[in-house]
Amino acid sequence: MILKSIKIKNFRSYYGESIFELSEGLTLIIGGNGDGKTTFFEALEWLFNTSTEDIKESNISAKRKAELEICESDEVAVSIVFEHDGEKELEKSFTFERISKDNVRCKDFKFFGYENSGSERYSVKGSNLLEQSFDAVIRKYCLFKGESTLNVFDNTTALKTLVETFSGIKRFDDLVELSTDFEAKSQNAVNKEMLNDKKCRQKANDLNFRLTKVKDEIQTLKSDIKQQDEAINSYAAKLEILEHNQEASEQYQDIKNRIKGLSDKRAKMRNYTLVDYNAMLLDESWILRSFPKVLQEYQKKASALSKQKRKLKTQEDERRGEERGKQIAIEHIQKLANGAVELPWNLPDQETMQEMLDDHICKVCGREALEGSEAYEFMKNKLNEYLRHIQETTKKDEQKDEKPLFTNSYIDELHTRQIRMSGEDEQRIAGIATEVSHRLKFIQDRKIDLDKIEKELQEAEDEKSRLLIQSSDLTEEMLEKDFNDIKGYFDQKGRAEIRVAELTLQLKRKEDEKRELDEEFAGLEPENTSVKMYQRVHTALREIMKAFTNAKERNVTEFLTSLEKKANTYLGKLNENDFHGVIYLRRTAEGSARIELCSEDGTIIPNPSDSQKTTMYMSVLFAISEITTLKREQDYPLIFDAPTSNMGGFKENSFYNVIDKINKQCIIVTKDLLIEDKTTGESSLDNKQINQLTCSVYRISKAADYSQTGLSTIQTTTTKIK
Amino acid sequence: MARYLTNSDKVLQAVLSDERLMAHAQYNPMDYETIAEALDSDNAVVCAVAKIIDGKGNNATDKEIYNEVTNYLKSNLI
Repeated sequence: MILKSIKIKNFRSYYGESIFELSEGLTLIIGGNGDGKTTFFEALEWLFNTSTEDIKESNISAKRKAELEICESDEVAVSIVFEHDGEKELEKSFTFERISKDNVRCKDFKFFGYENSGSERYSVKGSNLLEQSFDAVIRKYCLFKGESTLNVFDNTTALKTLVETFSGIKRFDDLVELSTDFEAKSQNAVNKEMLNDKKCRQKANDLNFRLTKVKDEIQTLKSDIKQQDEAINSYAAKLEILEHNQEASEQYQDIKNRIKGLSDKRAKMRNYTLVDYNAMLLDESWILRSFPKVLQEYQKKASALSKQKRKLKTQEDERRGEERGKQIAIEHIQKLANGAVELPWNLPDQETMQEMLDDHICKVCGREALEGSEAYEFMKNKLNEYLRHIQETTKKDEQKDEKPLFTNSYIDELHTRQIRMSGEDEQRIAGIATEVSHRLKFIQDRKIDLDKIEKELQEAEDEKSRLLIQSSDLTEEMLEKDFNDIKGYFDQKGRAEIRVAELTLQLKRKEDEKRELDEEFAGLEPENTSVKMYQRVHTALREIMKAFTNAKERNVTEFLTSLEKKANTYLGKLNENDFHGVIYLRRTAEGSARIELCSEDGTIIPNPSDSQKTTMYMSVLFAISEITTLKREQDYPLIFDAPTSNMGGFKENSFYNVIDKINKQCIIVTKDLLIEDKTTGESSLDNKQINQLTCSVYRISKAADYSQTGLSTIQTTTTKIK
Repeated sequence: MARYLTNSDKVLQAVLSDERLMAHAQYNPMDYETIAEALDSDNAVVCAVAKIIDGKGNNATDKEIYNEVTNYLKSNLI
């Protein structure tokens, strides 16, 4: 079967029709992330899936779906044209119709094949044509998605399936089982008959007893060997995982140690910051922490008040002194001219004066005193003088009774207290405050440290999570294993290997013993001719059974040898001018095989690189494909989705150069051979490298006008480069 | 022209090429390319092998094949 073309229509990101014309050798389909590489591969998987009528709406191109008006319809289709005893076509499709604004109906699933007979073209059932031309077993060894699927010996039945499919001889196991069963039945028949023979009965009984015992022992030994083999394989697998992930394990241990160190540090910091402030307030006098400031303020205020009081008192004393001086001066100025003694100030009195004014006459001298006259004005002044005197006297009396400026001594008390609190007490409290202050600063610093540690711890935890996500085939428990475990596994594996060697030797002895007993049994010469006849039949069936068993083993061995030889040829080609080792296909205890990359002396290469592994697995696949071609007289394509993602750039280039020259149809969907512009982030083809290849090359990419958030704007465009 | 061989023919050839069986039954494996040829053989062991393979290929029960093979051997082994 040689694929000639692939057509994808409205399948997910493939909007409208995209056609890939394939060469008979290598075809590269190059695209970046999200450009439709995996969709291309899954479109083929969808076409080749005969188990269900899969008409999922999710397979419809979102862009095409969004364009449809109500009642409009279109189809999703994937088809291949291929050469397999003449040109044939296989197409799977279904129709989708918009039935409302939000709903699309999928219907009319079709899976047809088309064959040409002469000039006529007629349709056949798609699944039948597919099984005839590209059956499920072959497909299993033709389509590979990612690197993890490349190992065809990844399960216990793999070898059996491979031998059944590709060795050219089927159902050998059934015949071996059948012939073994016949031999056992015939042995029982002989035993039964022998009991009727007088001559040999005793000897036959004895031999039968010993044979049964030896058979049981052989069975037990085989079971023990199987167990030990399984243990060896289990340890080998664990060691392989551990060795393969040594870097991840070391990284994990490093992170784990960092987390432990940080956790311890965090606990320590938390202890430092854990303080019972309530208790400390009174027990350790932390309450006094702010006292020096309060005292300082108090001292400042008390001093200011005291000073102000003294100032006011001085001013008041001065004022009072001045008042007193003034009074004395006035009294001195008011003396009579001749020095005679003055009359009392209250003569004449107020009533007398008022009466004279009212009567307009001076009743002292008898002169008339009309209103406005000089005498009248004199008397009026005299009255005013009298009144002023009374007023001043009253004022003086009041002055004599003046209260002190400061009636209380509070300010003095405050000042006294200020003096008392200074000195030793102040120093002691200042000491407490300093100590508390230092302690609080220490706690604050530790809290900052704690925050920093928490951040570092979170970063370490994140790093651990990232490591676990990246190492998806590893559990945390597996990463916990350190080199002590590796040593432990090595020791256990070594012990199991020694035990297997011992058991194998014992088994060989027991099998020799059984063979001798069988021969002895066969050599018995019974009298009874019927027994002799059963004996001959059993001998013949025993030899037939052995021949079947040996033939089956030879078939498997020849297949593995042939596969190994061809695989090594491809390994050499895929690793031109580089160390590549030798592929060994080793039988396992479970009856399958394991692919191992070894040095030429047969020692396993520890930790082969990912690219070495990829080329190793691909070499085996090419070898299988070649055997298939030979056995079935038909070639089959190998289709890979991103098989080289673990290779380095240089390795990729030489890989494609070599695979380009291998005479084998190969379709590789990849993001290799793209050069990314680091400033714009855009990718372009590595034309220099591509020009060196002779194969067909397609570039798939997202159409430029897409929205970063709208799926219905995504469209894969296909460009044939060469 | 190369002869088309069935799976049964291939099994027969593989089994008959066993040297120990050849020594035991004294036959030349080159004489038997197909099941049909082996079934026609005068060699009882060769014929018994062919009967086992053919019986299994024709979906006979194990018991039926055993009875046929042992009865045949009883009658034909000297």
